Amino acid sequence: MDAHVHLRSVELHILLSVVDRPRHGYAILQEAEGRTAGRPGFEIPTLYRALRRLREGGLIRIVDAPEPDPDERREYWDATALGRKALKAELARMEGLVAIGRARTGHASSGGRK
Amino acid sequence: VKVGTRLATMLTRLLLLLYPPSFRKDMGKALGGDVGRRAEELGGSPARFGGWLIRLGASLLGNAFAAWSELAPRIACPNFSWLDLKLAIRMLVKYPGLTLTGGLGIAVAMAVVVGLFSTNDWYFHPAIPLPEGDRLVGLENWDRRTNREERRSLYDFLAWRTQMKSVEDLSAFQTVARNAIAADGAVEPVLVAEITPSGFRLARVPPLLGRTLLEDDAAPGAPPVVVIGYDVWRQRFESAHDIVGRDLRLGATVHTVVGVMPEGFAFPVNHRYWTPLTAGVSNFKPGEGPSIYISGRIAPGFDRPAAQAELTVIGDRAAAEFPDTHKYLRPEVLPYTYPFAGMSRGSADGLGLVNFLFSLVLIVVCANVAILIYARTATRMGEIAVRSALGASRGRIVGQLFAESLVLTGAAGAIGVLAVKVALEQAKRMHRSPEFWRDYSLSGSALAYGVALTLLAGVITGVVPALQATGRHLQTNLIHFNYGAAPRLGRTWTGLIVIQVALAVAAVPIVVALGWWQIREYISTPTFAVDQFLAGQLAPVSPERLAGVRAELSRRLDAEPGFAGHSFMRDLPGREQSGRVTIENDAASGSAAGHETQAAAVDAGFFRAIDIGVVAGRGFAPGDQDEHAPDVVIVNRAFSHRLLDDGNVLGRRIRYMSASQRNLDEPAKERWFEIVGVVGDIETNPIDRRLIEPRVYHPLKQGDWSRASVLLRVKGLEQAAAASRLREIAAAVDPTLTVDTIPLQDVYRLRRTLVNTAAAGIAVAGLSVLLLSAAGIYALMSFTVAQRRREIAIRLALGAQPGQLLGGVFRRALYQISLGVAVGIGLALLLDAAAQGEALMGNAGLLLSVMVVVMSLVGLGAVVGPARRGLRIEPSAALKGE
Repeated sequence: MDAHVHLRSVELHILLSVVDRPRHGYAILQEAEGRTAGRPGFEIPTLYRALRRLREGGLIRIVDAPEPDPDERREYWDATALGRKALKAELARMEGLVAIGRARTGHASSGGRK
Repeated sequence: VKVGTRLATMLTRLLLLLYPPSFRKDMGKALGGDVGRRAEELGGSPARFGGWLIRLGASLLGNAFAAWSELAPRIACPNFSWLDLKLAIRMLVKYPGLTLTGGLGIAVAMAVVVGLFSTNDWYFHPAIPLPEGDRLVGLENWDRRTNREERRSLYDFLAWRTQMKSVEDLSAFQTVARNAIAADGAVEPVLVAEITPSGFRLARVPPLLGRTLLEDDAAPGAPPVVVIGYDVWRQRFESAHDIVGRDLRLGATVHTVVGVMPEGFAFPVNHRYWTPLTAGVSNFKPGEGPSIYISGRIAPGFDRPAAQAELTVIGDRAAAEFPDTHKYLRPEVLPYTYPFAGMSRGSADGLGLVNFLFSLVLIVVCANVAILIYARTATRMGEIAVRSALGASRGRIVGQLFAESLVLTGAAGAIGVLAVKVALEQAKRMHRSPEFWRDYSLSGSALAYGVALTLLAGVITGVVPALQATGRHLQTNLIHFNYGAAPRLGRTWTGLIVIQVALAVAAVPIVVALGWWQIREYISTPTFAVDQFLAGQLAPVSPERLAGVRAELSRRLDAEPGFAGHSFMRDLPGREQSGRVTIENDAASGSAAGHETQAAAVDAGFFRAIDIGVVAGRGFAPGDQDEHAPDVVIVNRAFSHRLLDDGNVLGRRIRYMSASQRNLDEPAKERWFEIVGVVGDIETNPIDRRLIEPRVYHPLKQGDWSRASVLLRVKGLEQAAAASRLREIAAAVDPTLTVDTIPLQDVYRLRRTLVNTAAAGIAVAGLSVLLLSAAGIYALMSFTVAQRRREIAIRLALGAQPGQLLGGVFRRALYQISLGVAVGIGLALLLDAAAQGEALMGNAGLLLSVMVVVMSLVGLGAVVGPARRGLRIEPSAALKGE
């Protein structure tokens, strides 16, 4: 997968969650909920379809659990180098958009969110 | 929380079946685990949980489509997009009436069809969980004269065993009831498989401890041995490791335990005790001996038709050799389970037809929903035309409409299948000792059938209306849209309305009548203190020993301080046999149908034992039970009241309409029974006395003792203690006399549960038919009137009188409804006649008139709103487009 591809919201949340350390699916969902005041905008099935898509694109991979997990059904996911690159590119793209938006609406760079 | 978690997990498991298998394999487990965790988290708050469950279902459905389209973006689903699904779910929410009625209809129909399919699976294609289980067969003689199986075939068994090459490990068994008597005298009735040692070779399951039966064990004079099941070992012997060699008393004989079978082993049917079949196997002449079941394994290199061909040759030879016994016998090689379900070779033939007929139910429901969806689609013609004009292909538009209907049918189908799964689990709980091959999980084929039906339903409800709507009139629709008019539908619409009304008028009364028939029985409650009684079914006693056993048992029961009276009978209260009788010289019963009654055979002490008094004539005297005594019966008050108007009852004679109701061997049509007494009713009905069932009591005769029961009034004893005391007394009278006990209360409770379940099912079915029809008629009528709104407005502008215009609209509606009602009444009466009055249960007039009123109200209600809206249109606004 091309690292310069536009990421969907669920994909962005996944990469944000697994970029610093491996996490399992449910932890990713909980993190996303934490970031969005409980409204990540996707449900468990969407999350898993996205996980599969990202893995097939080479952006994330399955790794061993960092510490023994009592639930052996869980898979732990970690970002690959390509995944980190894609995340950085996406964040840069978003920063660019944010900068344009702020310039046009007259917000200061430290201004509040709309 | 637990129920919620299970519900969510089941929903996920079901809907995951819609995903590409690779996805399921890859992600299914982890996804399911997370759903379970989330369900546990939210389980405390039903409102949040409910909302989440709906979102989860929608997301599962939506992602299923998307997962497929990711798999093969060009080939598999050229016309689906994720947006279709969002739109579809939005449509479900936007039209809640259509979603609920259509969904309910499809869900109920789906539950019926898939439920039937999986019970068929049980009977016709069960997987036998044994090594090479699919090669096991049952063999039996079919008597062409009586059209039933002939099981006295020990002679044939030996002949087949030596002669057949295509079937090996041929084994025979019979089930016998025995009292397992412990050292402390405690008695437990158990079922024992008396089986040829070859049965264990057939099953190919090694014992857990010790050994299985050997040929030497079956030799005459061999010491008695028994092999026990895992549960018996755990419970009765507390998992003792020195079990082999210990004693187990079955009836009068002490057996040595030689082996324990592993957990779950219940071959040949549902057995836990096995003793060798020794009954002098080689001493029987053709057509003699005990009733046995024969099974075997198809030998390598053969198949069932080959085995059948070989057996037919052997059978022909036997018929020539023993014409007296074998002339009409036709030996058959059947799938292993068939003989236990009383099925022969032809049984499965009608299966496809039955499934097809029931699938028709679903198709009728789907056609109904399709009409509703079409009516909705018709209101969106303008939108469709515009999209088409903007470049959407026909396939694209059909794809979108198909996705919309598939979401509805998919959700409804999942609910229907879920209902079947719940029902199967309920059945599992009710079945105390199921056959070892019985699997209560929803089979893969039943699920596949459900998924296929869901797709079919989606095609019927989505693609057909979509093709219709995007057909050659699309351009015309665009023009109409431009001028604000709806498309014309004309005669098709009239036809659909007529069919709708007719189906509702025919189906609803029948469903209601059948439902009421069930419920009114449930309302009847016993008049005597059921909770004081304990019932026990006795093992058959041979005729020679009957008199002695009976007298001794009676004496001991009388002497027992915990029992206050007893009575012997063939049929327990609440378990009587239904039969149709005609009354001699009775004008009213001259009809072919006769009267439905409940028949029981009881001894002279029965009425006293349950405190039911004799109202007229006499009760039974001991002499009536004599084999050669005249045929007399006693009837209850309901019989006298309902069938004879309380008139001349004593001395009248009745007879049964079908030979199967009493003794098979007698020409029952010739046998008349004289009424010598009338007794009080054993049940009462708070709604209407006439709902109490007519009962006929026969004196208990010797032949009835092959399946007699005893009813005990228990005084100052717990039911369980009374049950074990009764078993001990019976075993003391005769060690082989087993008693299967049940509190009489449970007999009634079971009956009530069954009736309740049936009534609930019928009520749901009737309600969904009514809702669906009402919604369909409403949608159709309001649509036809909406079509004419512009016309009405224009005519109004040109000076027409509103009353005149409304009259015209109503006349048309009235014509359509009347035609539908007439066709429906005809159909209902026809069905009723075909079912000999058992479809409408004699309430045709009342039910059909109520339906006429309901249908008229629904139809007129559907007309009034749109017609009034038409009258309110400003003529100038309506004409603006012209």
